Amino acid sequence: MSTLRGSLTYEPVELNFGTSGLRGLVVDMTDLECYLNTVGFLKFLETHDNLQPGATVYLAGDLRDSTPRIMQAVQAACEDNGYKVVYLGLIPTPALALYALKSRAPGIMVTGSHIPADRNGIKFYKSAGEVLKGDEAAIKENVAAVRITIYNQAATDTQFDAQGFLKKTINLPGQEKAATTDFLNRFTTIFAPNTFQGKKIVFYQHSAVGRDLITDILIHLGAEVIPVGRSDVFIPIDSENVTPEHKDYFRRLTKENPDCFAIISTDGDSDRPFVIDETGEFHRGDVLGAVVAAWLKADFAACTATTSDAATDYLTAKQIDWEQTKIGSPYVVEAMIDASAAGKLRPTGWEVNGGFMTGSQFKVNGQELPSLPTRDATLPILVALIAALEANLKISELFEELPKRYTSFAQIGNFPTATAKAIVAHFSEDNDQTRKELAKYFKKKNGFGQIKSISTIDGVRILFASADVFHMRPSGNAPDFRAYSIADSQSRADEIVALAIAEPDGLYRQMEKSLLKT
Amino acid sequence: MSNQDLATIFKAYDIRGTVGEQLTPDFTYKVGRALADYLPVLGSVAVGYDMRPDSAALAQALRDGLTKQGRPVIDIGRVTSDMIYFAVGKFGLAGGAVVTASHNPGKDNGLKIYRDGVRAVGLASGLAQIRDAVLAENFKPAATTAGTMIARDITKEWVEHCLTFVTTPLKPFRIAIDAGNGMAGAILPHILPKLGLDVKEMYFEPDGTFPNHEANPQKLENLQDLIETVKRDQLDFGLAFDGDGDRAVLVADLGRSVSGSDFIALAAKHYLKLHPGATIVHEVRTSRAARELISEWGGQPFRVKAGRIYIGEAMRERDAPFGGETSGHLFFKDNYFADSGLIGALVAMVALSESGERLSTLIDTYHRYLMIPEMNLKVADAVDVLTRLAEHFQDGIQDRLDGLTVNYPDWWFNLRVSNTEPVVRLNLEANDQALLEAKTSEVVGIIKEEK
Repeated sequence: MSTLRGSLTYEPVELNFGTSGLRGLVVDMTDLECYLNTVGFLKFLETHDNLQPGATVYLAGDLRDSTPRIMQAVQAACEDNGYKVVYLGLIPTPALALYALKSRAPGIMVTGSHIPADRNGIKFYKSAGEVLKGDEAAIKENVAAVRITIYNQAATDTQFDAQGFLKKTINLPGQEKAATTDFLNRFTTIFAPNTFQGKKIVFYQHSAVGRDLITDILIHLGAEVIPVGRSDVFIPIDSENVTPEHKDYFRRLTKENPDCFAIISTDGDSDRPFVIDETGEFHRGDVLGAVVAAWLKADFAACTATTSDAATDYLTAKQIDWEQTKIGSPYVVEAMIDASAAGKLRPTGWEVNGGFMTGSQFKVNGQELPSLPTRDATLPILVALIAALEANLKISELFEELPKRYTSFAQIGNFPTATAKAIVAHFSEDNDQTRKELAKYFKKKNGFGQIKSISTIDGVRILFASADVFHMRPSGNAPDFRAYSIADSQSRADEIVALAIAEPDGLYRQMEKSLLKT
Repeated sequence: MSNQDLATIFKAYDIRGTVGEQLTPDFTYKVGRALADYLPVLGSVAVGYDMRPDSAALAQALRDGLTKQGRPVIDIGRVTSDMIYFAVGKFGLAGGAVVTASHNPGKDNGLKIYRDGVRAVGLASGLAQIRDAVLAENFKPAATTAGTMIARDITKEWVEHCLTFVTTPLKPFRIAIDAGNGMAGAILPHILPKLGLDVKEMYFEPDGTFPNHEANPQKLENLQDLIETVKRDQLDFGLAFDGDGDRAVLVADLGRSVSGSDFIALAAKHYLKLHPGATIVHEVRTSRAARELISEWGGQPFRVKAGRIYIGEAMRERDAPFGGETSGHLFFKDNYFADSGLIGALVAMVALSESGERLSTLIDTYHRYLMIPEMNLKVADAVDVLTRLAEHFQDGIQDRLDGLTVNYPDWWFNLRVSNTEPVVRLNLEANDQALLEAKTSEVVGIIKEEK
């Protein structure tokens, strides 16, 4: 008997979890691959989340060309296993998450977030919220079991063709608009309709899935919204790695709109915020998160290991307890859960990309803001702008309140993940030997002084006595070795990461050669 | 329903018509589209509705019309009309509309419309444009992206706002309030517990069929239950609200009625204490006594045409803290120059608390002259009537601010022409009863001497 696996005319590439959710190349995300990952997730929910066939699963997606087809594969997987799919439309990931959480039902978001259009992804939400790191192994086990079962189906009986696409046509159900309405009301309930009265806000809309919904929210809060850069072609834009082209674009926008209060944007699935001040300066998510946490009167902040000390110093000054976690929203969520268990009443969390989470119900302007322990772009954008308005400051002035520290990021490609991980493991203990070895790379002639401390929460983060910070970290799903820096000037921060990734004999290549020798 | 018939429901200050025949969801949908097109500034529109059986459906259609044209809409829900005016002012909205026929019977309904800056939209200020667009179905093309709608409960914000008018601790009055089964009955329970009063609540359940009496406190017959209660229970005073809660009327201790002019004088005294020398706006029907009192208290009385549109506009122009209509519409600068029954009632309580007097004692000091209740007289040719009256009383001091006003040292009258009916409205005040009767008879006689 010819099996489905035997009939496939391509070599399947299995989807893997990135820092949040499954990610892969669109060519690898065949209907079959998406289908069996979805079934594996549902089986996981049946054993870990008391989900029973017949229950509702909420589905939504972003604006990538590949998203509708993948949503149909996900829908087929759900329906074939007895679940009812409610389609929430092309909406921000946090809008899906909020609605699923409120309905105590699982949610599936088809999105590749900020990554290029030749890639896509699937984010899974349990009835209680994000899939945590501890869940991933169990999901993978279920996917593996499902994969065996489906691969072993007779080729003649299976619903997939030799290219891994569904033979039958799947039509998405009609859109249920309640999630959109709920997300709109989340903000219009706590903020007044004249919040942004008389303020011009430029919204770089590109292909962000929340471009219309966030525009609506701003309009309902009284803003004059100037939409710019709307695109039918998917534009990848990452708040953690803003390109020089985008930086130039933001500065040009401020020149074209000299009376604008702020420029805003989000990434593709509208869970990562962009707040750009009236001078065209982008403000990174780690400092944005600190400002938002302070405005919300948080009593705890979980932020990732690459967070600038400008942000953590600000939190300390605002008497907000903080903790740094590994990179990835599941770690931040877990830290918020732990903080709640330890008695914190208003825990918050965010990553350097700015996606902001609330770990409990907050009271804002006398109204309830329900908990949303998953990345959201809209709340931090609104709060930053409101914080500036309330203090009668320009957006640039708002961020001037934070200590002056500069960050930079770069990564070297074609760097085997195993090598990068080995380097990190080699420097994983803060002792004299490690410091001595590191000093060989981080030389005085390059401006590095004595090492003050080493943190290995996620990768290796080195704090020098000069207050320079260097952080090395392998990519989760690509042969890239990442370099982060913090310094007292932008030029120094840029110089540090440039030293690390220089070819052919920058610090990373020197470490690689040294490791290969041993 | 012909366009000619439909045009008649666009009144001077609002839209009023019969539900089902003139007012349908299709009609309010068209009004929504026309209103969205008309409003001069960009932005959201607040929509509310009263307790009449059809109001919610008419409001839904109105919202649909607004969003069709791309306007964001804030659904304020079932509220008093003054809450819509407040929403427009507080949140700086492009406009607001409330589905209500105010005090009219339950078979009627209507729309009160405001634009940015809480400016009333009447026939002379935008409503004619809306009417013409609705009748011709001449709307701008529907927006490519429909406006969205959000719901917002503003009760808490409204109550907080109203409490800012309580500038003096209130005496622990024992009072009765007749909400007339109108919308005030839904809102008052949110604020009364904060006032420290002993309140007998009457007809607080909103019911658009008005099972107890018409919700028009300007008519004495609608105040009978309240008057009886105030007398029987020896209360400090009574308060009555109209159907949509934007108008309040007082009943004094001993069940004595309090005229609109009395109410204006009471509030004016309070505001002239707060703002010495300020302008107080009133309309042509106001008692001469109220005008004299305002001057004696150091204020500047300023007379305008009758109609709520004119009071607010004059107050803005003259930065007046307070203005009032004898019908019980009281306007406040600190309420975005809009009228409010609830705020009027609170200001009256503050004024009474400040005076230390009983209300009946206080109004006795305001009663210098006698006035007839407003008379509506059918006429064939109103212009001719005004011309003949002007000729007949040419030795009096005349003005044409609103119809014809003629002043003599010991009496005066005003005759206004209805905008929508073949009717003239007569108000007449004199120094004593004999003169009042004689002059009323004389003026009415001339009016009736039609060609």
